[in-house]
Amino acid sequence: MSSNKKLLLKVIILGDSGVGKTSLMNQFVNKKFSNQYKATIGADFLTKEVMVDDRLVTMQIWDTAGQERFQSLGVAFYRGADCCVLVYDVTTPNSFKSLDSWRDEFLIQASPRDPDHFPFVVLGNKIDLENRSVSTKRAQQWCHSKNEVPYFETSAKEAVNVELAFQTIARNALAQESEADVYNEFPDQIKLTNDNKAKQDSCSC
Amino acid sequence: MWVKPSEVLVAEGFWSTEQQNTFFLLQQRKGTQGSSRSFSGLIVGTIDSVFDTKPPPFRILHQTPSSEVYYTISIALNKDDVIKDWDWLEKNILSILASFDNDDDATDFVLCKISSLVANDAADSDNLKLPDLDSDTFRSVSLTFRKNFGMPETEKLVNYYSCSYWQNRVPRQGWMYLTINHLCFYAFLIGKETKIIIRWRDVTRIDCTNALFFPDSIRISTRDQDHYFSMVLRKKETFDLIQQLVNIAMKQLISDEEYKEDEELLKKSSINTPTKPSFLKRDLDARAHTESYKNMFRLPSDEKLDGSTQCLIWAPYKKNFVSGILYISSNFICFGSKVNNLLSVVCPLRHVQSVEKLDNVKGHVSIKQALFVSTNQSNQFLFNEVGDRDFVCDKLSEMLGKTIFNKEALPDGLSVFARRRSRSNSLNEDQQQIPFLTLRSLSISKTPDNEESSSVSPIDSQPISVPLRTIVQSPSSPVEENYEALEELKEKKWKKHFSDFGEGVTLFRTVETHYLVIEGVPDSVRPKIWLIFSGAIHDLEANPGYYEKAALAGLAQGGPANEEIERDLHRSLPEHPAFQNEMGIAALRRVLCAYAWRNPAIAMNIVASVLLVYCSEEESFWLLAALSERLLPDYYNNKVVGALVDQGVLEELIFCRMPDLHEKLDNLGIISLISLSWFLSLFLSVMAYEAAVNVMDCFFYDGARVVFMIALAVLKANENELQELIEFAYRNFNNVSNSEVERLRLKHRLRVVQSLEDILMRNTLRTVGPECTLGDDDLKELVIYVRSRQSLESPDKEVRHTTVSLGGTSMSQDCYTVSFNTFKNIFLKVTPWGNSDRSDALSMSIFNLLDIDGSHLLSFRSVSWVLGVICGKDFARKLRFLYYLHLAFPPAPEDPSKYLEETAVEAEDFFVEMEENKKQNGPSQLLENNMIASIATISKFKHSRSDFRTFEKNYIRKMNQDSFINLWRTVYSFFAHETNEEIFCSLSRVGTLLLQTGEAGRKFRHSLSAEAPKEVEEASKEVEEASKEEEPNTITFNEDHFSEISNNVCASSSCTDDDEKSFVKVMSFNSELKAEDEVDQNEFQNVSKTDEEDVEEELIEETTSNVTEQISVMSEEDEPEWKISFDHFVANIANEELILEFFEKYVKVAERIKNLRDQNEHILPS
Repeated sequence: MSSNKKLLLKVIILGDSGVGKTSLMNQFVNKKFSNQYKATIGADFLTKEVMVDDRLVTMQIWDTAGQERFQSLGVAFYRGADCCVLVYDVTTPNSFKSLDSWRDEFLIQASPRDPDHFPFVVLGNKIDLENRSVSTKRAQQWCHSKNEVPYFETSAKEAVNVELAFQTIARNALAQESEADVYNEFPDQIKLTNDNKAKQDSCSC
Repeated sequence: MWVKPSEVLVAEGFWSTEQQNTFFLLQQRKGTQGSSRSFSGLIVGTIDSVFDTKPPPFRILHQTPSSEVYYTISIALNKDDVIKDWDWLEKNILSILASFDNDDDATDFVLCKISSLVANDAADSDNLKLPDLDSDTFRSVSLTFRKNFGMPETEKLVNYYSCSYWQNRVPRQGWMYLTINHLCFYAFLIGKETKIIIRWRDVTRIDCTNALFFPDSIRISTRDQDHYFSMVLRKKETFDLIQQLVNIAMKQLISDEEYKEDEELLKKSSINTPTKPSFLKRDLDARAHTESYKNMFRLPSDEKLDGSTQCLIWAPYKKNFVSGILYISSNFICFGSKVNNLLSVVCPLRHVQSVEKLDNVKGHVSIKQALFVSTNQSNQFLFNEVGDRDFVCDKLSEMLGKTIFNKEALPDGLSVFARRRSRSNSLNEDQQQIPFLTLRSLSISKTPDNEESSSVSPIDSQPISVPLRTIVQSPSSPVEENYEALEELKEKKWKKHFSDFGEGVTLFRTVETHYLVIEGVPDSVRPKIWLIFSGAIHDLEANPGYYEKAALAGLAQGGPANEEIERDLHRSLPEHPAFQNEMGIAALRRVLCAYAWRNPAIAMNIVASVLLVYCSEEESFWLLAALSERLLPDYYNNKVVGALVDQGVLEELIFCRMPDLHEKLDNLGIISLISLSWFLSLFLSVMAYEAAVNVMDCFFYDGARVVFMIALAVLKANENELQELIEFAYRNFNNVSNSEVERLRLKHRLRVVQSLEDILMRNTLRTVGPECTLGDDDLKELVIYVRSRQSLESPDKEVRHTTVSLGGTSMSQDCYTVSFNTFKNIFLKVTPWGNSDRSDALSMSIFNLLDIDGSHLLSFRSVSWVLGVICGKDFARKLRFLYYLHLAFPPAPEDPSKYLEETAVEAEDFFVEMEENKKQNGPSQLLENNMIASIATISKFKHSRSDFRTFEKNYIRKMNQDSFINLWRTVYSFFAHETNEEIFCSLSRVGTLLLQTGEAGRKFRHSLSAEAPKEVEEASKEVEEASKEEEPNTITFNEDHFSEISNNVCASSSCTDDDEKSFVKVMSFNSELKAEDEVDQNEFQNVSKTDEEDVEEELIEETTSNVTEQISVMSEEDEPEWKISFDHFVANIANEELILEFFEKYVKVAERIKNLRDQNEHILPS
């Protein structure tokens, strides 16, 4: 792999609705915070160029809708992700509890080659709020159990740890990318249709 | 069934005579007997199949010995009926006939008698039964169809068409049968039968093709295959019907709704009832018409079209007649001009004051056959040259009579509208002429401006009856000074329009209206326009007070829907001042909760908040209803299916109209991603606010096509200013019609729904695959079968629905559930255990075992797991499962229904125990796996509590005599059909041995416990300690250790290696278990120290105490009972090769399920 090649890293942000995915992305890309974001519909993405270890890479950050109704759409753009960011809200225990299912969902839909070592990053957002209810320790334990997933506590509002977190994301994604070059592009697919059709079409009489 | 006697010249030929006496012959048609292989039978079968002659297969003929003429006097569809008639003849008629001297007299008598019988029957059926729904021919066809395809009574035939099916490039002439759930094709040509059954649900695409090899045919594709039907006589009709049926099937898949016949139609006397088509076909036709009628005029969903007729309408604004079609339905009179969009009128019957016939008006020569309709909204309609006027008039007066009753019920709701106020009251001059009616008409009431400020007192639960716009300052827009003037100008234009074209819902909808809407609707007129043109006004007026109730109920109900609403309240329209205070938020909450109460699977906060800015809460509510139930069907449900469908539609529209652009977008692959939010938020999330609201004006006026036109225009020229955009859209994409949208929606709905199903299935396979021992093919077949069954069984649907709507983040494989019937079917037909006389009981107990949460539905996961066990090669696993099953849910000996109740308690007890077992063993299992991470231990451990499968690694308790006998009966029943006697020898040998083993144990224990109960306890403690210290395999055993000795006794008696092995196993197992428990306790204490979570800590404490308890229970639980252990059981069975062979046999699951599927394909559950 040539090191001067311009690299595109695809990063997916997942998490329950309202945990602050859009805010985090906007804080990182535009350095702005607003409490006037509309709920995300489907998905949206922004790009930003960052330097990782003296290499210029373009991060394509995909912000997804947390609502369950949009999960069936996930398949389309989970594929080919280089890193998956799981976000929860430190003030709502339920958003922490769903990290498991978000992770599973991603692994099922994206089906990366090596699920056990796919780079995840966990962000506990909204630490600027008073009513915190998920302890750092609990989150760390979870990350520990999932093969040492990096964990950051962030505040999109006050820009705490956002830059650092995304640096790590970029670095881990880059590591994944370089490994990935060794393998083929697409994971195996399960074919559900019979091959009869193809046969029929191809023969002539 | 008796029929009017008719002459038949040739009695033989196509018919074979079954019974005969002097005067009568009972005949059956050749080729209808199931087993008939005779040549003539084949010929007749072919003739019947090719021509549309479908006579009933049985008949009775009358003939006198002296005459050559036969008379048909009775026909029947089945043998029983014909025999009944035959017996009646023999009993009552024959003796009388014998007394006649003259044969002619006899014939006369018979004919007369039969005629009178027929007349009697007819009179009876007229009085008692509903009018016959389907003609005799149709019923006969229906019967042949059912017989040919083995369809049950419930599968109703809609229609049948002659066509040919291309099988291997050879056309086969035959009949296509369309039913509610299937397309069937049947051809019978000289002994060669062709049968095709396609389920609508499996159809992925339908189209008309003209491919080289299949000229002018209808193509129906499923996942497996393409089917071509050609030479269809009425191709258009057939294709439309197929489309309609597929669409019904797809909608069922989306919403899990069952197709219901329209009972109303039964009673409806239609003028020209077609003779051939079935009642269902008529029903479907009526539906199709009603559907397009409702779409055209945006009427409520329960409206049913009654009829339509040609006529002219007097257009007062341009003083001439416009020709078009008058539609009449249960609550509306509508008119649509022949020239599209030139003029249309929607007149609810509730506003109609009188309908008069008008003829020969002086000075108006042209008026003839006219109807004059006057309304209470200052509009009057003159319909001229009405076809079938008298009928129309009668119909109208009949329906008006019905609505009068409703009118009286209305006044309660009036208060709702009276409370409404608005900034401008300049528009209601017309209405002031009829003061009472203004209240009812939705428009602006007379309350003057200045009252407004004082009246608003937002109490949280009190609905706000004014638009939020009027309470909160409108957003500071840059064109502030122009804005007011512009609004005023627009208001003036609208005012003039209302005076020219009438006001209220009954206004003349003309091209001019359309132009005005495009220009933009002033804020004050918006609610009115939106309500009228979206049709929401009808629901609003028909359901006074509904919203208040719904809001209260919705706020009170709670649940996941409300949580979601709560989360989105502040993220709906955050930039608008109306939603930056608690009042606006509260209003939004009420509306959304009220709608969630009406339809829980739906949320659409953004659109709702915009509606609230311009309309009152109640109006917004009904606009939401119109939006999500009619204009944008399925958009806002839990999978946004509707929006996905429309994305497909948009893509196709782009492809047709801008192929270049399509190619570019396709390469980027993001068109679907971008457009989703366009559809779901009606451009609100992507456009400037004012602009998007203007789009909404057009949308409510013109329907869904506006969204597509705008989308196309945005893509074509996205730099254009907004005002230009709408104009641009109409100028360039005006050819996008609503009917085209509907047609394309149909096509893409098919694709979207089927691909969602595919995704679901793929995910299921992916998640279930790794933990199940079935092969990929096996699983695939299983999932296909389960899915097909699922959609057929209604109870499944309900449960599936609730889990989908309630479950927060449900795992994908849980989407497929298996009901008992399906499970039983699979069990009986697929597993090797299904072929015994105890299978029914066995299947029920397995079902109970797997049904962990008591929902009477199994997850696909557990079913595939169980099949993996039962059909796999691993005999020990199979036996373990069988053994465990008989402990947990012993299969009923005789009566399954009685058994259910009895064992329920038993099972419960058992599970309390199991729970303990699991708690005890969960961690030890993890220890085996070398799981170090403590937190993972907790989560895994918690998980295992709800998972029955952990028993595979658990210690299984011993079995008492009753259970064993039960178990042995089951094992015996597996071999009931065997012919090899050696097997029975083996069976009895093993059985006896096991019984002896148990017996020996009891004797020994009994004597021991009688002697020194205390010693026993001590001894058991010793064992415990010993086992802790020593290596499991090197345990030396002590004479006091009764259990081991009993084992030994039995082992030596049977004297085999296996037994010894098993015995050692038991030993090591027990000791291991105990040793591990100790370790676990320590492990757990560590864990609890590190963990902060109270809940989990508690859990652990509970567990540790349970563990200790369990240990003591285990050592004390030594009553003198008959017991055998699992290892005894498995070792003894493993000893007999013949039996082992059975348990080691591998089953080709895929093959068997495929067979099952083929058999069952068309059989619905009774």
